[in-house]
This record gives sequence, C-alpha cells and structure tokens, in this order.
Amino acid sequence: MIRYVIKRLLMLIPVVVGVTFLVFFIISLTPGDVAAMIIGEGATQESIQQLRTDMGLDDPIIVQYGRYMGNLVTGDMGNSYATGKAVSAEIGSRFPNTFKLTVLSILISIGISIPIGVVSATKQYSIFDNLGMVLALIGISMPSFWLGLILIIIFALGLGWFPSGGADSFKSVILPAITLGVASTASITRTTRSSMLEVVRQDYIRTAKAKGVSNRVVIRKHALKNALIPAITVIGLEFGVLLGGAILTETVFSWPGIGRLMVESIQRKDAPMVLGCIIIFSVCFSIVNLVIDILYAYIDPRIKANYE
Amino acid sequence: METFKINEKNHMIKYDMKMNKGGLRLLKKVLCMCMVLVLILGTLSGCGSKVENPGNERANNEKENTQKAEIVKDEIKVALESDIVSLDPQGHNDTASEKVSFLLFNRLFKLNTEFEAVPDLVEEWSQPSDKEWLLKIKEGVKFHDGTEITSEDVKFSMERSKESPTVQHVLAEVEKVEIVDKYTVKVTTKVVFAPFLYTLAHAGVSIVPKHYVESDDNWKMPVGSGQYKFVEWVSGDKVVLGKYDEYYDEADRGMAKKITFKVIPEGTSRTIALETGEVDIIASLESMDSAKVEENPELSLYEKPSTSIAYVGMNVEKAPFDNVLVRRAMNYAIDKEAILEISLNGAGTVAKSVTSTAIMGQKDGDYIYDPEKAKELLKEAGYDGNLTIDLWASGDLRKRTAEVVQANLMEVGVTANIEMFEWGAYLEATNSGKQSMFVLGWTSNPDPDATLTPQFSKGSIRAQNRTRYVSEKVEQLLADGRVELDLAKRKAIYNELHATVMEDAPWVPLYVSNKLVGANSQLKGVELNPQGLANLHKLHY
Repeated sequence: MIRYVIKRLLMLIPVVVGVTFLVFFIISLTPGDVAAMIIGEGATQESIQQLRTDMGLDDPIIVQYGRYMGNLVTGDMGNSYATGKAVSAEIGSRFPNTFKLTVLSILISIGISIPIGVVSATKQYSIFDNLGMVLALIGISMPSFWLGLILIIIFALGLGWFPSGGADSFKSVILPAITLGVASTASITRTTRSSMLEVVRQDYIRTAKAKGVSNRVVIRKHALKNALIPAITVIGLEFGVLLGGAILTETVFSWPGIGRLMVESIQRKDAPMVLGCIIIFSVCFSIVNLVIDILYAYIDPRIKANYE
Repeated sequence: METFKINEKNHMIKYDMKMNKGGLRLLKKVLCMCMVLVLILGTLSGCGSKVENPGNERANNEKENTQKAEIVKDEIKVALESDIVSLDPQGHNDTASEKVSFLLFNRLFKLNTEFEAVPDLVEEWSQPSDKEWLLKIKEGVKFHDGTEITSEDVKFSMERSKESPTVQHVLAEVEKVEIVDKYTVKVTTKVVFAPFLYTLAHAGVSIVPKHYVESDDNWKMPVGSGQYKFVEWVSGDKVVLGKYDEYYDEADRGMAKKITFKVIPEGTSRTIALETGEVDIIASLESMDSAKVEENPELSLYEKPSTSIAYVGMNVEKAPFDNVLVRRAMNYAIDKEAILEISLNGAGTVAKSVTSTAIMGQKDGDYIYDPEKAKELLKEAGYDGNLTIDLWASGDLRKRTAEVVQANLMEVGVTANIEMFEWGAYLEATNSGKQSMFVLGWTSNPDPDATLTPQFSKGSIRAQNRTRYVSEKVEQLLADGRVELDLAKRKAIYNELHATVMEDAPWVPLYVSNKLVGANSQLKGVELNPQGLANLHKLHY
C-alpha cells in the first residue's frame, strides 16, 4: 500500500512537467506584449524593449521554460509580473481560502446528496424520488453566478443573516459554499441513486432480506457501502471541478481565493502567477484522486487485496 | 423453489405495471412539482423584498438614534472593484492602488478637486531658468516612523521613480535631481517642460523614505508620511489603514480612526454590500445601479464628469478613411446621445472634442447629429450608399456602442461589419495597420500634453496613435504646448490644436463618462475629482 502511494506521488512529477509545458507555451502564444502591459499606456518603445530584455522575454520560449523549471525544482515559482510579489507567498495566502470553501461545499453537497440519492433509489418512482430528481435537475442547470446573487439578495440583503461577501468570519463562507455545493450535489445525487438501484437488485441483498435483516440495516450496511464506490469517484472528480470552478462564486462573493487570483492573472498576462495556480490545481487534483483511490481500498476489501 | 419463482414473477409484473402507469404519472408529477417550485421561488423572492423594508426601517431608526446620540463610527469601509497591485507607490499605475497610496504617502504637489496642481510637501518653488526648478519642501514633516523628510528622500524618490518600469514614463523628461540644502532640491528637465508640476502630483512620484526602501522589509510594512498608516493587507480581500495622529498639516488630518478598503470585484455585489451597510462607500458604482442608489433614502449618489473619453477611431491611412470627407461624415452620422444612453444609462456627457472638458485647453467642435449632412459629405467623397467598412470592438460595452454605430451608419448608406476581439488581441490588432474603424477609450492624465502627444503625434504611431493621424500643424502645436509656461498662452495653443484635430476628424468623440460614487447618506466628507473618489482622509460620520 505504501509503495503504491509513493508510486502515485512520484507520478505527480510528469503531471506537473506536462501541465507547465502546455500552459507555458499556450501563454506565449496568446497575443499582447507582457512588457507593454506592465508599463501601461504612455510608455516609450525603448523602455518596453528594455523591460523585455531585463525580464528575459527576448530569449527563445524553450530557454525561458528551462529557466522556469530550473527554478521550480528549488521551490522558486518566480515573482509575479504584475505585483512583483513572490508567487509562492501569494498562492500560500490565497489557497487556504479556496481549500476551506471547497471542503465545506463538498461536505454540504455530500450531506445533501447521499441521503437524497439513497431515498430516491429505495423509494423509486415515489414522490421523494421525483422531487429529488427534479431538485437535482434544477441544481445542475442553475448558473452559480445567478444562484449566488439570489442567495445574497435573500439571505444578506433581505434577512440579514449572512454577510454578502468577504472572508471575515465563519458566517461568510456559508453562502458561497452552498452556491458552490449545489451544482455538485446534483451529480452526486444522480450517481448515488443509480448505483444504489443497481445494488439493491443484487442477490446478496435479497439474501440479507430473506435472513430477516431489517430494511434499514440492509440499506445502510449491505447496499450503501457497495453503492458508494461510483459515488466516491464522482465526489473526487467534483472536488477537482470545485477547486477550479470556484472562480465565478469567488467573484460574486468577493472571496479571496485562488480561482479569482488565476483569472486576474490571466487578464494581466501574469505568466508566473498563472503557472503557479495551475501547478497547485493539478497537484491538488492528483492528490484528491489518490485519496479517493485509497478510500476505495477501505470501502472495498477486493480492491485492497489488489494493492497487497 | 416453484413458489419463489412465482413470487418473483408477480413482483416483476407489478413492477412493470407500475412502470407503465408511472410514465404518465411521472410526467404529471414533474409538472406539478415545477409549478410548486415556481410558487415557492416566487413567494421567497416576495418575502425577500417584504422583509427588506422593515429591515431597512430598523436600520433607519437605529441610524436616527445613533445620530441623536452622536455616536461616531470610527471605521470607514470603502469598496474597491479590484485589489491593489502593490503598496510601493512606484510599483503600480492603477486607480485602486493609487487610492491607498494617496493616503499613505505625500507628494510634492497634489491635485485639487478642480484638477489643478496645488502644493503638498512643497513650501515654495521657483524657476532659475526655463529648464530648472527649485523646490523647497516644508520643514519638520515626519514619516510614520518619526524620521524627518529631507531633500535626500526627495532626490531618492524621484530617481527611483525614473528607474521603476511601471512609472518611469512620469518623470521621463527629468534629466537630473540635485540636493541644494537639507530641504531644497534642484530639478533639471531635458527640455522646457510645462506639465512638470502636474507630473509631481502623480502617485509614482510619492516621496518614500530612503532608509525604509533600502531596508530589508520589502514593502511588507510600508512607512509613509500621509494621513494614514499601514496596518494590514490581506491579498484579494482588504487593505486596512489606521489614522496617523501626528500628520504635519493639522487642518488636513484624517477624520476616521480606520479606513478599510474591501475588494468586491462584482458590481452588483458592491451595491448590495452598500445596501446592507457592510461598506460605507463604493469607489466605483455601476451605472445601472445608480438609480437604485438614488432612490434609496439611506444612500446618496455622487457624480462628476471623468477624464475618460470613448471614441470611434478611423485609420487615416486606409480607404475610405484616408478621405477627410468620409471622416467628417462619420462625425455627423453617429448619434452620440443614443450611444451614451445605451452604454451608460446616460451617466455621462456627450463629447464634443478629443478630451474631457476637465482637461485644460479643451474646445468644442462643431459637429452635431445630422444624417442628411453625412449623406451629402459621403456623396461628395464619391460614395453613394455603396460603402462597406469593418468596425472593430472588444468587450461588452464597446460591442453595444458598435451596434449603435452600425445602425447609425446604415441610415446613411454605410454597411458596417462588426468584428469582436479579446482585449489583448484587440490592442495589438488596432496597432497592426490593418485596423479600419474601431471603438476605444482613453483616460487622461491631468495635463493635456499627456493625452494629446500619445494620441496625435507622429512619434506614437504603432503605440497609442492608433488612427495614424499625422499633421504638421498639430506636431508644431504639441511642441509649442509642451514648452509654453504661460498658462493663458498654453491654453490658446491647445484650443487651436483641438480645432485642428476636429477638422481633420481622425476620431468621432462619443462621450465622457461620469465617475459614480455611492455612499451611505450619513457619511460626510465625500469628494470627487475627475479621476473619481478623492481626499478619502476627509470621510467620516
């Protein structure tokens, strides 16, 4: 098991190399001169050229990439083009916010979706099932931007229960977490429902029922545990989506997270910052998937046996 | 065994029947539920607005009470649309960072609300010769750490500003700075340079303490001399400043104990934060929210014409716009009032020349909206309802503008094909030489030279002169304007320049937008200059 984990962690290296390579070249292909953007309107051609030379932007892309990777190995992600601050420090200050938001919203969405999914499956075609599925459909089709504003209008402006934005207290995370969680609630509910439906028709469930085990225990102990594997896969994927998809939510709620940092950096053509954000995203995504794989082993002994 | 099978079959049959009936029933149920949901949503939103009123009334009463009791709110929260770029005044060139810089640092000169350069740290100044300026600063002004500002700091700051990639253009005309005595510096400019005092009011020429900049702190806890001291910057979230009690000018000290800048990137969220009282003032209000703020008795709306002008540019090197008649026709054909209404809900004024009226020497041109006149001019130029042009734009606002222009041109028999670009690509494309007609804007610095030279000089083709307009007369007027130290004569030069440019018509100036500020109506000391919210140290309850 430990060997497997180490192997998976080592796999991160090619992932980071591949991702940075792609992003580095795509950024270099986008139009607009970084030096001119930094200096702003009113700059002379000479000063722009001077800055280009100072920043090493005149070197071939491959040389610039090599230099960047060389520094990255020593843990240096460079300095932001726009603010001059160290990328690692900036990401360090923003990432905890995004992480907090993502974890809370995934918890909210698990808390809602698994019970709904289970009830929908066990009472298939009942009013609960239909209601659950309609809610899931609404959740998945509601744009987070719109939902966020509606929540702000009702709960911040109207009722005054929560602040409309910022990251000052625990209260501020609730509305963005709900906004962010709703979309993933939908897909997790649907997955849970369909995999539960499959499991409840298995022989061992019938056996358990025949043995006289109560319905509740059958569902909780025998069915749910087996039905969770696809649901957990989706949760893992959704976690990644949430990490990156928080951009709109972070903007509506003025949440100082990494998604907004990345968008702002893209607009400013701040390549070191964009690269830094993307590296963090890909590492997180990989780690979450690793955790999911390890979770499988705990849930399903058959998978655990494969590792050993 | 047998019974078991039968049971299972029965079960299956029941199941199938359920499924068949279920199809129809499901549909009905879904429909019902949708209607219920719509109802719930409807009542919820109804609740929202109903609850809002008592809430507001409550807030009102509370405020009335507080007013009676004269409780002073110590902290002013200001909503900014974007995070500051840097605390180093020579490391940024954007309006959000400037607002913070202006509170933390002093400059030699500052701009008043009428956009005139008035002395800040400077006590007296003189000109031994046309290219030399003697600047004497006030004695005994102290930085937040207690050290006195001397000519060392002034020289250091100006030289540092010239080296900084972000603001080096501000003092580009300065040749050298020399120390005369402890409080006096002599600045020599490369050429006779009339806008010099204006350049000293730029945030990039803030006076920074030499000893601090040379320390290892690296702008973590910046030390300035302004009305407010730095407390904290949480990236992407807020900047907190605290009042500096020993500010040198007793009459102009900060009013509130604390000023917190909150970053709220989304316009609607900013307005809501003002409505809920989470912020006291919004530095830039969306024009579509201005009516909402105006109607709310608890909020006040402040407006002032900005220095930002929107225009339609025409590449004078490319047909049909190489013909001045066509360019003049465009100036008659485009309905600026309609564009102002559609783009900004009317929050601005129609532009009659190439700068805002706030800029010295602006003079109105003669064009009015007159499609018939435009048709005549086009006919004279040899186009009679058979002209097709490209019209470029970028972003939502400019797209809307382009659509009105397109409709206007249609009326005079010109077909405009709109093409949209991503911003970075747009800036490059409008400089490529392939540009034909394009929608763009420009925000002026206070001195006219800083707008007119980049826009209309030969030297800035392939930079800011996107219309590629060159005129010998204008070149001469630009050169004269830069060196003319007599204000009245300088104004006359720019008047003539405006008249010349408008006659040659490389632009159709569209509108000058208003700076909109929304604030709690009890907040006092709200002041605007053409660059927006100003003198934030005066804000208080």
